[in-house]
Amino acid sequence: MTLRTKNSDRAAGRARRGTIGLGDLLRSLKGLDTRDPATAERIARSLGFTGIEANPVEETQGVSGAAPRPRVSKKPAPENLPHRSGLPPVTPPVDLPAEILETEMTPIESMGPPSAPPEWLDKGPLLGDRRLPSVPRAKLFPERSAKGVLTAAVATRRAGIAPDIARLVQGLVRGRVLARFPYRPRPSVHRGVQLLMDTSDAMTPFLEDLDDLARELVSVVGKNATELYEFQGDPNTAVRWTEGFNDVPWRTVPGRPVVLATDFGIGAQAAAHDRATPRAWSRFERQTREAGVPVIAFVPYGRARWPQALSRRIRLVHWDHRTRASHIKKLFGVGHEVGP
Amino acid sequence: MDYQPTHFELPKDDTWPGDAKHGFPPYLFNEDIAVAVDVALATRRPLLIAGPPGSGKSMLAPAMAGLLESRYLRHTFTSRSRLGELTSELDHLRRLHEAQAGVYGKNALPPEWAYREPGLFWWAFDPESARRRGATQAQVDKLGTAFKSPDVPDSATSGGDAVILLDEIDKAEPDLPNDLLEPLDRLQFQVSNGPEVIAPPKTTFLVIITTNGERELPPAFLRRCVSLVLQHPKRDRLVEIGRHHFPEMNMEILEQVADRFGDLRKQAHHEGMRLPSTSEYLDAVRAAHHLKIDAGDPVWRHIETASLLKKTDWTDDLADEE
Repeated sequence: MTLRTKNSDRAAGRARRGTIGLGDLLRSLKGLDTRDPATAERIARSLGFTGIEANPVEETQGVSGAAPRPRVSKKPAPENLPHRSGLPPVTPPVDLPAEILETEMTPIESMGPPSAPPEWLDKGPLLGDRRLPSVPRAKLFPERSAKGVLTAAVATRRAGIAPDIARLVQGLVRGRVLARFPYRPRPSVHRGVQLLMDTSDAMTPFLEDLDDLARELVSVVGKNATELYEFQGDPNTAVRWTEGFNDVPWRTVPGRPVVLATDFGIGAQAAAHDRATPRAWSRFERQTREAGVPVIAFVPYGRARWPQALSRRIRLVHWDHRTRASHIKKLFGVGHEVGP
Repeated sequence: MDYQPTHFELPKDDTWPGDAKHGFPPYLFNEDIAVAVDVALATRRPLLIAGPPGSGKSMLAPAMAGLLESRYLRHTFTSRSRLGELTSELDHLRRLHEAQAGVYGKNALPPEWAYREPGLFWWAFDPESARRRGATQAQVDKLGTAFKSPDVPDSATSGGDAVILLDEIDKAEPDLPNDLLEPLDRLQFQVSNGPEVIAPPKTTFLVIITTNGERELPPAFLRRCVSLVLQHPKRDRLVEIGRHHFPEMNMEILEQVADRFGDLRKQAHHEGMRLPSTSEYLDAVRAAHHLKIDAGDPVWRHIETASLLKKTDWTDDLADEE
């Protein structure tokens, strides 16, 4: 093994340089043709000094609302339902008159002519132009831990670099001819993921969290390997939209993990029209189990409220800022075990 | 172009003529590209190129290798890629089979180093050492016929300056870009239980890394790269690209197809569909040329469907038929 020192690095002319800094900019501006100010700007841009995204990730279609698409709903939507693209804006309080208005309550005996509208009604909007400062929203999976949590949640096992000595010895002892060298498994996201998002009424408080989840999953797994589906209560009816805005029903893909983002109807009223029955969940669980597809469910409510029967058959994870990748690794080890 | 690069010479008409022998098409430089390459060469940093498919990200590398008259080495990442492919890996399976089959009779198996498989960085930084799998010449001689020479890439038969293309890094596992930081930063790496491979100090390496924006790259990686974001070419540049690819082609066809291409991009954008790219424009031009038709021909609609639109969702069409 070669011992390396700073001096030997310098002698080889390959000292570690770290991230791009002002020195790189100065070296470039001094050494290159910068007679034209626009060229100097180009140089600064290429070195990342103008804040332009160096790796613009394609916009997520679907839940993040990058592209408009028709909402196909078989049930009539209740009126005044908040729009999917976000929560309703916070309503500022109404300005009350400075003095108490005199009122005289008299029994209604005869309906006289309608009274004239008050003067203040014509003096502009009641709510004025004031906007309350928006309260920063705490993400269910904070940025610092989201990537680790999601990688651990969707990773499957794949042959790594280190030889699996135990399996190798076992094979040799039994006199088997090894067609494939056994390697110790490592987690990998190469199989992609299907994200099934519950957009039922009870999940309205978490719509922006669904957006965040979809975006984070795409950044971890990649756009082409992430399939985004939506359902209202019953996961068996999940659909996704194609480029031409046609809906495609959800089907399992062998070996591709499924991530559910749902409250399992915990937050819904018992008689809610979009609350799935236990039988529907059982059918979903059976379908994924028979297809050999690992399922993990992010639930925005704590363990105490989880459906007991389902939590024994589907691996549930509290969708919460305290959840860490290590908690998920305890559930799955180095990744989901799936077939070849 | 007003900009005059310091570290390389731009060709006539700002166009590298291509290399028919190796199948590389012509490459049109613009000011953004020339400046970014010049900065990467001045700062000796990797050049990260982002942009839509068909915008010419990968083709810049052979063009620069041609202009710099240096070696060209390429590696395309997949979801299975790992650092060892670029540095060094041990061929465990060959070693095991040779041990089981008793290839060397009563003699002991060759030492571990004889099973090293040099990766792209090794061939780029030190091809001599890679050819000996990191051993000394005396060790190789001592091993005699038991030493099997590794397969030498065409562009690694000798040392010297090199352009290295690391294509589609966004296809690799999320951790891989961080694994590349050390060898790319210092142009050296440590072979496990072996030598340290160091690029010669006076050698110039232009490392070009491409991404389609499939997924995010680690901030630490981005902070070490010179950045170039290629946009889809405007209509006139598209025609110019077509002219260099098909010098014998009638300009009228190139312009007609470019106009139709622009309309289709707008339509696809409006409908939320995938936008056709430069390579698809060239396919359409090629098809129009070989079939001897223009955008007004009734057959043209089929060319659009086959080469420009490339629909993958036929639900609407099936519904129409019903």
